[in-house]
Amino acid sequence: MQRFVILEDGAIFKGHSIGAPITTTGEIIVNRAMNGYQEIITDPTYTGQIIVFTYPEIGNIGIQNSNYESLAPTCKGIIIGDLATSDSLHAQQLDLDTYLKHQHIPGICGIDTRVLAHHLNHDQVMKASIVDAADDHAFDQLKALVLPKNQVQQVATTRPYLNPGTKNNIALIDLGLKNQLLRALDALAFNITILPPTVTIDTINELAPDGVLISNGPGNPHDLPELIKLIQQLQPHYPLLGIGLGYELFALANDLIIEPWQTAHHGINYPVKDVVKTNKIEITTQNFCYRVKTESLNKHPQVRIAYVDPLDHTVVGLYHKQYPAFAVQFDPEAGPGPTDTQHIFNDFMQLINKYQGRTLKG
Amino acid sequence: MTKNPDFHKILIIGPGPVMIGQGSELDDAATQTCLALKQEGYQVVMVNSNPATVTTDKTIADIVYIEPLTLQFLAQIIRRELPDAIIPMVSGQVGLDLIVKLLDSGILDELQVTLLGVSVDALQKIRNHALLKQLMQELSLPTPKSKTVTSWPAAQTFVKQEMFPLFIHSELSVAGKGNYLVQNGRYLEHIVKNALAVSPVHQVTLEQSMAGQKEVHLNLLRDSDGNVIVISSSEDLEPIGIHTGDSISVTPVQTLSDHLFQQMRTDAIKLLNKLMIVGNASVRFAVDTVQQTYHIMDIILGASRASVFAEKATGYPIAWVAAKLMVGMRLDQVDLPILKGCKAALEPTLDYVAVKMPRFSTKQFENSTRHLDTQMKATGEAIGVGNNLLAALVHAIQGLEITRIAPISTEVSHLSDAELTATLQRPQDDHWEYLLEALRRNWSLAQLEQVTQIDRFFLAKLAQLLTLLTQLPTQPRDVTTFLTAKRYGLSNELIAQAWQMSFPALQAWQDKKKIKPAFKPIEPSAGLWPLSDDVTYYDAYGAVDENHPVTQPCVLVLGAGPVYIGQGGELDNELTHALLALRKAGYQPILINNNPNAVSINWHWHAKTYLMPLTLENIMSVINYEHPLGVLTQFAGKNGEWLIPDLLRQGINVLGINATAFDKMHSNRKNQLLDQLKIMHPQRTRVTDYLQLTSVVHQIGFPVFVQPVDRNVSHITTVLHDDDDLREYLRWRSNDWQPVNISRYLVGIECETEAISDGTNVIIPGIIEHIERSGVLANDSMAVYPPQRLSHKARITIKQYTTRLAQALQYRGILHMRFIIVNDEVFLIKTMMRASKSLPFLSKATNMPLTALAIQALLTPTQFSDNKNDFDKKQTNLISIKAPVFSYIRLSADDTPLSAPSVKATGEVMGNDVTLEKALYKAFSASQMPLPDHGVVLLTVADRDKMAAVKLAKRFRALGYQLWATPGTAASLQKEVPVKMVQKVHHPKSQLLHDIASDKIQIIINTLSIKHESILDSLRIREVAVEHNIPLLTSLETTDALLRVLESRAFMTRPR
Repeated sequence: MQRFVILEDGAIFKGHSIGAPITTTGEIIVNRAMNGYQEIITDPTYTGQIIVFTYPEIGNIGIQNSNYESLAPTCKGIIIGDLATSDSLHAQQLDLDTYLKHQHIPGICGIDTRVLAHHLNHDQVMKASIVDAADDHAFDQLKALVLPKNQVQQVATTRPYLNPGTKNNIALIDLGLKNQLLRALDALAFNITILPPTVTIDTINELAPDGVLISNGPGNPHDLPELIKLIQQLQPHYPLLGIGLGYELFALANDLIIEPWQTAHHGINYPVKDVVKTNKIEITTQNFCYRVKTESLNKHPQVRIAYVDPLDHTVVGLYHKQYPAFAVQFDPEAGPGPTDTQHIFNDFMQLINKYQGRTLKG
Repeated sequence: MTKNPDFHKILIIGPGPVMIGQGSELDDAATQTCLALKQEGYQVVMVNSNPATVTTDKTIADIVYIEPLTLQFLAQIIRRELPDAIIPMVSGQVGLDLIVKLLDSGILDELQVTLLGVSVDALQKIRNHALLKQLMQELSLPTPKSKTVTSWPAAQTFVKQEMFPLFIHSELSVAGKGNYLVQNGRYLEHIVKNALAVSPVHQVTLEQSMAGQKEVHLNLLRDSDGNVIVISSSEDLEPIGIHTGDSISVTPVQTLSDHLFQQMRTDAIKLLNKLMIVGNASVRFAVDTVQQTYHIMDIILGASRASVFAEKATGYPIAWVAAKLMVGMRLDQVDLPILKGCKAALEPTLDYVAVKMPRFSTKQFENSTRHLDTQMKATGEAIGVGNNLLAALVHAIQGLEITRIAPISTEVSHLSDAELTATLQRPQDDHWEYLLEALRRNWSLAQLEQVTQIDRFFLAKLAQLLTLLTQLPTQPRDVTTFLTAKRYGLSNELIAQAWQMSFPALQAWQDKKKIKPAFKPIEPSAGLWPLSDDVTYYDAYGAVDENHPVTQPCVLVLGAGPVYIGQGGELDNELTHALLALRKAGYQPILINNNPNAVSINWHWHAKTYLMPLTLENIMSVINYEHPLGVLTQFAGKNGEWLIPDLLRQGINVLGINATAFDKMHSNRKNQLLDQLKIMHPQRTRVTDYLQLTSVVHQIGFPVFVQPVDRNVSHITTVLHDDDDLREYLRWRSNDWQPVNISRYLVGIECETEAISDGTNVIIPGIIEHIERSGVLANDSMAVYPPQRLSHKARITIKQYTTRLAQALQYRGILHMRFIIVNDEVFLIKTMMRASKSLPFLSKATNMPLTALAIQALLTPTQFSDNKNDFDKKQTNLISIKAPVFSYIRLSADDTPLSAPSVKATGEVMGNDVTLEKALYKAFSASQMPLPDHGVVLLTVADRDKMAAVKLAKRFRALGYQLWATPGTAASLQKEVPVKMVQKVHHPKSQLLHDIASDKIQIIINTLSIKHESILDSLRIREVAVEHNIPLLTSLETTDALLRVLESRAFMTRPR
């Protein structure tokens, strides 16, 4: 059945429908990863977004139990080249198309995603719809739709819960974390209390964790003023690590300027360079549409650059000179993607151990 | 760390001649390495024995040595050049063996030559299976259980019943020689002993077999600061158990979950870091998709087939970057040529799929079964790129030229289900045909997967192909059906057939519907980075065009396609010269090629390149897009020539060749023309009917020369001397008759030349003389320049014939002419309207830029006629010898490892020096045939050679060699010289093969006779000889040459 992708700027792309037979609107972003579509589709960071995959064969290994990053995907739709249908492979539970239908996620295939990606390279994050008819009505609806700002609320936990471990206690503020984050932390046996984003400083103080981690998540960091304040309250007293959205909030909490960014980073092949200690280059998974404005760093010398992208020179990691706090915009836990930077969690543990017992509080 | 300021001069060991398992892919890597280092200001010395490669051009390296790649010559060169560093990373196994010899000899330490890319320690570990395993175990990397032994008893002790299937790995042999997968103990002893014998270090590793598991390669780059990136990942359709060079490979991997893949990636990085490799390396994995586990099989250093495929598929120039890393630069310091403003620290991500298909030459071998196993048989590869997997796969299959995809294949449709199963379990080189057949018979994917161990995912794609093929005929002239078929790569040839239209009619229909292909770039950032101008394109339907036609005058150059026996990398080498010459003449060259190992597909030549199969349809697509002023077919080998009539019919300007000329030379009118021009030539008659053969032969008169019409089956070329021979031949060919051309067999000196003509002025750069007598093994003959035996009259005649013909045809460009000279009379036996594979040799031997001249002749004739006079003078004092290099393939008619394999020339080496003898010596040396100064010479010659053999035998005896001979030969010799008689190979009590294998014989002289039995014997002798690097001479002329070398080296010791 024919279907269309229409963009805010009037562009129309024609293809065939896959997934749920519904129309949808959302922010359209491009992910260039060659594997891990299931992880990406179920990644809460994509809440409310329509994902364009540049890799031409999507669905090769179907849907498998071990590849969920969350159980209820919240992306709004997918746009692909070819739907790779195959007979059930050994570990496959179901095929992608059926899964999308079950999850009420619409999709469209037969699109030249490379060209679509090009088209999007030059604009701020745009709205798009997947519709069955590319008529005026559809465009009107598209223009009229105001994108929600409560993405974090949609995916984050509403109540605290425990993820037990034997080592240090950490409080993990959930803004839409991926399963892979928990797996990575489990590998180091952290004893984790996962907290909702509405948590207050008092609750955290009561918990008295050894360190605080702010997870990645969807949406615009400017929409979360309480969290910015929370970080300001936390960072003098607790070893702190922010990832993804957590990094962006950390930056804002330290008076840096975050701007929406034209060439957003979504994929699993982005290099980062440690400019503080090792000068090492590692490959990472990244999902963000905002970045720190480098000039704003000059005005705030208490926050320094920890990691940069050696290719386009984007700042992707910061650390605080005074407080034991650092943040990275990439996903050290990966999922999908390379685990080169998983040592960040070891670094976090080392940081915690260093400050163990010291009176930071009060 | 920045690049090392202490180095100024770097020596690169070249890849040597093309052999199965080590082909022209390394030439490209070597070229890139030279250019990358030169860019950084280093002086580059290249040592290579292969003249037919652009690496031995003076424009690529600063100082070039075309010398044998042996310890002796390398040491001499190193002492002379005193390089600061040496790179063995672009010469495959040959280079690594050599570097170890150099290290062991102490010369590198003595002269303080640094080894780049890998440390001595790591090198030892990588080359020794046992040490490598140990290292991997220390790192907790999963690897199969194994044991390395140096004797059969040790192997025997290790092997227990439950270990089978077991993989026997012959340490350090090339292309899997000696390797075998055993299912049980039946031939184990023989296999182990053979593997030990074939291993240069006499070691064998017995390893728990991973056969049946998925084979995956990861290609990585590491810099000296320890930064590692993965350039590509590829998976083979065929499981482990079939050599990866014989498998269909796909990049990127399609069927692995991200978890598993990332684990593999992490482990590969660990391994590279531990070994501290700087530059490029590939890690090979066996993946069990059921258990979701994997094992690391081995690590391959430097450039390889896998890395070159990765390069062409991603557009990321691995060898180039590796070279810069080797001299100390960091990944984020090296500029990436293909993306503007991007550094090399980019892990490629693709938005298309690339497939590599092996190209086999097995039809050219006698006694072949074409079964695939752990020893590589493919001679070349085709690459297919598409914006979906099926299109890429179809493009790759089409790129093989010798295969056709059809809805029904008569070759396989008659097989019973049992037969089909059997063939699928033991796949042949065309097994995808059998896969399609099984799918036609509605086998389930699960069933097929179980039988073949090919992942269901790919089988589903083939099933999709089949569905498309069967649906096509039901919807003729339907646009949607057409678009779907095109989206998945189906050719117009196929669609026309299905729709029962003619090909031109379909093309016209497509034009009317305004359906055109889009061209997409091959680049590693999935559109994130802006592209440089030198991007390569592939074609896709159902996509948006991202290409822009060239704005300046341009010429379309056809590439030579995948490598096969008879057409190696030589043409591609010349192609690069043509590209450069075109640019110099002011034209933008546009190249179509689909050989991933081609040097011509490299941004360095600034040709706009289309990576597409060389079909008429694709050529027309590019012509219609770019509007070149003409098409250059002269460097595209046979296939290029075959396309000419179609191109001319379409009204395309084929450079240098007009329709009349082509027609005259490719029809019955050729004889007429030659007669008119008073060019003597043997009359040739085509015999298509088996029953006609006898009468035609009698009409022409003995002896006759028999050649197949289809050049792909050259093994049936032979000479018939009398009715006995004829009867024998008829009997032999009765089951498998192929049309042949019969002509009078001329016994004489065979020679050839590549003339350059502009229609009026004709240059003969030089004449290459074959050392062996005219006839059967012409392609495998040694050759010399300048000619040693031609009279002045013959030379003049050759020049006259060539000039007359070129002028009569108004031919422009390169005209290949081949002659036989009998009693000083010159006969023309062959012409080709294109460059032959001898061109590079001739160019190097004469020191003349022949291709550049040809381009001048084609496009700037005034320049050409100005230059013409300069080249009548001799340009060099050296004598050059071209020697063929043989590859050994196990192609057994039956199943056992005891069966006889076959050898064919796959490449060439050059030896040049001031005297003929020295040049010969070097040629033998370069082709890895050491010339011992004493030992046993075995003579087993055809009846006609027995008289002449006596003289040669006496000369050997005078030098102190002992003589052995088979009964017939011995009878002729024993009157004149002491000779020991040994039984022929096919005699039940024969020890001959065993004696050869155990180094009892040092030189073998074996000329072929027509008798079928003798041919088989010869093939067996050949196999063993090549396996053990025993010099094998197949003609008395070469023997004479060899004797001259030996005599020149020896002092005369004679009793007074």
